[in-house]
Amino acid sequence: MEGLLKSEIDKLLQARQARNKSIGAFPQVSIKGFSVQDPTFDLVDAKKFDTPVVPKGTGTVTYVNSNGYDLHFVDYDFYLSAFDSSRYSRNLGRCDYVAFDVDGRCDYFILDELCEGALQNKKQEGINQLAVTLQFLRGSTSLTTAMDSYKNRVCYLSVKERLIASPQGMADAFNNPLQIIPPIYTLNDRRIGNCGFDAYAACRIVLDGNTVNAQPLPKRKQNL
Amino acid sequence: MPKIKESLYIKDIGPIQEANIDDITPMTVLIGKSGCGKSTIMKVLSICRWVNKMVYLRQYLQKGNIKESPFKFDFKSYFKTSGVPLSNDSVIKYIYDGNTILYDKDGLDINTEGGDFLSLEKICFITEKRNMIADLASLRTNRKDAGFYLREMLDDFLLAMHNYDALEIDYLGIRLRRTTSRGIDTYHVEGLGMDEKPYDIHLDQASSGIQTLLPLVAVMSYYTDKFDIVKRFNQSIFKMLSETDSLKDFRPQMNIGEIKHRRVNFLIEEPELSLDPDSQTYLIDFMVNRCFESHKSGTSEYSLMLATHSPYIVNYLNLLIARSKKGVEGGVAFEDINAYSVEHGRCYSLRIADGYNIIDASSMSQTISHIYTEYNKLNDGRTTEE
Repeated sequence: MEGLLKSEIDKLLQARQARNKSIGAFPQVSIKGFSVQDPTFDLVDAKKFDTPVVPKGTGTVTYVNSNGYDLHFVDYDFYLSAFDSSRYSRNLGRCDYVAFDVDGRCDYFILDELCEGALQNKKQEGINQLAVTLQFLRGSTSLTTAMDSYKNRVCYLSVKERLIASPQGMADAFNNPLQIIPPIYTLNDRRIGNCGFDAYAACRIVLDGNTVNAQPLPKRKQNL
Repeated sequence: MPKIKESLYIKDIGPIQEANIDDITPMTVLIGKSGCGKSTIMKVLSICRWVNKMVYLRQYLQKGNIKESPFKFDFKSYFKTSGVPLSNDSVIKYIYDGNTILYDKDGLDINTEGGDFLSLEKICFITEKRNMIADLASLRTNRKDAGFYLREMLDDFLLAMHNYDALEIDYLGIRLRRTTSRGIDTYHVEGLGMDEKPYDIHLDQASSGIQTLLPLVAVMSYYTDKFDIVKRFNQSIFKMLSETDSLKDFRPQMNIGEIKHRRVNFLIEEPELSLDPDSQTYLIDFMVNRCFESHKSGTSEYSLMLATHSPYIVNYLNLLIARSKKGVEGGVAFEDINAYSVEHGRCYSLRIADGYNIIDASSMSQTISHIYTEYNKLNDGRTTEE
């Protein structure tokens, strides 16, 4: 899957700039990925930390992998960012990780966008990154077929909120809205749903094989 | 009465790239940065609702033997007047019950499914420029200088105040009263001062909060209390048919009063303008009371769309939902509320369903979070002064 992902992304990036005569040669970039089989593990944004897999409880998102999936994570953000200077991927939204199980069960194909800290409108930004990534990948028929062969196709927005710590607690009441947000909830984004993926906001992702997928909608001339 | 589905799709209008509101709930709140397109969405919706209102009127007249439409309008010019000009790529699709209003590069297409359903609609756009109403009403500013929405609201305010001797605003302990001398109306704000002594000042001399609040309260009070939508439509039809000399042909098959579905739509820019946080929450209670609570058994429906920057208003939505769930007065059911964040030219729903039934107001805390993250960095991570 990783090889297919790389070759199809390269084709899509080149097609994106096919009419741009001033663009230079397509750079050769290696894809960066890692595999995890641990029953629980945490991830952080790979561009901010040396090691993406960190001890439980210290990351932005926790994966609970009690079924023992052999999961492979592709650092999608890193890969696309490598094309930014050559303009092939400039202004193209991207999520952090694309992940899938590689043990033949074909249970999970996951897009994960990680976000931590006090960033304005990070959730909307994150949903947008996921939707744009998915729409880009679905531009390839081979990738679409490959993705659709997975039983559970899910976009996760993993936003770790940092609680406000103000002097004498004077502004801590602004934490209250954060504290009523459930640990996992459905995100309704038509672009993601139209691609046959479910979408959730969650910082604890339980891979129990029970996710129910949206049915991909037939392609329409105009998305009205 | 079964709920009527209303939806709006907008593409390439002003800052909006592609926004879709699948199901416009009776109470809808839009949030987002300044200039993100909240007002654009509200203005597009208000024009679509107005066109839809005219479609219903046209259908009514057709049933009354008026074959040629007395309505002539230039859809595109309304957008220009509203400050949201359409481009060649602009697309609008508005659906209300069986009516579809579609605008795209081929122009305007209105499709009615031909059912018997008719609705009497009133659209009331309450502009964020309403702080100028006091000056305009006191004739201190030339009305010609006012933009379209401000002139509309001024007309609504003057109409409202001609229907009230005085308007009590209980939660502020003040009264708005109109007096007339030599044909000139003057608007007074009366109340008790800090020293418990009564005061009486002109509206244009009141505080900025009072000047922005009272016109809003007056207009909402009038349209939820005294407005006779049937009478208004009868007057409009009579005027239109007289102007087109077709009154003699009119053979109404039903009276306007027999049209059962009636709706007043409020679209309010920045309800929080110049108001302290407590007054903002009182204002929301007032709106909810006017639109939903006190009309549960009435003949008209009300819809409320707000564009706001206020964390108090957005967080208050969760209290409204909780009240409704517990059967406490002043609530709004989760199904009847939605909030959207308008970002990057798109609309993102802030509803969290899945049984939780809340509005995600956490983005309204981010600026405070950012402030104290910076503060704590400067203080070596300490949260208290030593």
